Amino acid sequence: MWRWNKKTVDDGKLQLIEKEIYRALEPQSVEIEAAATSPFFYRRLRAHIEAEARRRAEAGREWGAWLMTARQATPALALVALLAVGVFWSAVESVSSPQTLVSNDVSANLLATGDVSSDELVAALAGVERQDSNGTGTEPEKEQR
Amino acid sequence: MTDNELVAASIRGDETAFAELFERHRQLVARLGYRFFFRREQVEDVIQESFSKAYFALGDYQGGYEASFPAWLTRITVHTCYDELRRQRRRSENELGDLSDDEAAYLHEKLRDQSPGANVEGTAITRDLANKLLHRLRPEDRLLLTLVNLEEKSVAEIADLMGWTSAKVKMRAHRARESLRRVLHKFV
Repeated sequence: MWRWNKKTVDDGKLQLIEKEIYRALEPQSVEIEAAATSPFFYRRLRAHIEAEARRRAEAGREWGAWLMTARQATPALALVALLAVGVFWSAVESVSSPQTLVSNDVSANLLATGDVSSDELVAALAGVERQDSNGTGTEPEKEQR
Repeated sequence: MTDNELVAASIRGDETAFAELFERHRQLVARLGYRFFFRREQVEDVIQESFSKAYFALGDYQGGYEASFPAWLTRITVHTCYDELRRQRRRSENELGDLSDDEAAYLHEKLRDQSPGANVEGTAITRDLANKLLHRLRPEDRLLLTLVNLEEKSVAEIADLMGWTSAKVKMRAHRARESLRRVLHKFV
């Protein structure tokens, strides 16, 4: 088996070898003239072009169908988006109303104390609502006394 | 009819006009194909692919492009060859195989010959051997060396063909030459 060893080589020699390589790659005029001269070659080229045209048309149709679907779905998607905005808006309105704020304050206070059962929380909230229906916060207790 | 008239007729759907363009410029594409590939089937694939690309790009051809249809077609063909070289590389298609011991020894002898009159000119580096050597280069290196040394294109021409800057062409050409020398050094 041939093996190589690291030795320097004359730069000029390398250049000559390079030239020789390129000269070897120079095609013969006979070869160039002979390329693609077969009477079937142009027919093959046309078939290749037609196949490619069909492939492109197919790809174009797929895109067209996708765009058409997207276009048809646009009104429905817009309606869904409007509904979502409406729901979001009403939710924001209810959260920012005073009654909810009071309820939130009570539940926050109860939760801050630590061990609170869900029954206690519901009872506390109901109490706040009763107070609100009476119009004042601590008035009923005073009346009882 | 001029090339530009034939292009216009082809765009209108005149099949014979495109056939005429093919007949006129078939050899130009074949010559370029043989610069990169040495088997006839490979070259014919390049011809088919280049003319097919040209057909679909006829609408983009503007008569004034570098003053000629051949220049436009050359650009398409060079890119087709480049794509094919890269495809071969990706597939690791080692169709050329490694150098035989005889070929390696032959190169070694030629490169090490230090006698005063020693000259590699006239020695028979076959096309097969030359292809095997260049096959070891990266596709862009091979493309550049071929365009510079065989097609004798200037830096500006290559930059225009490949869509690179002149500085990039110079840098890549330098690297490509170094790569080829490294390949040859292995046989010293």
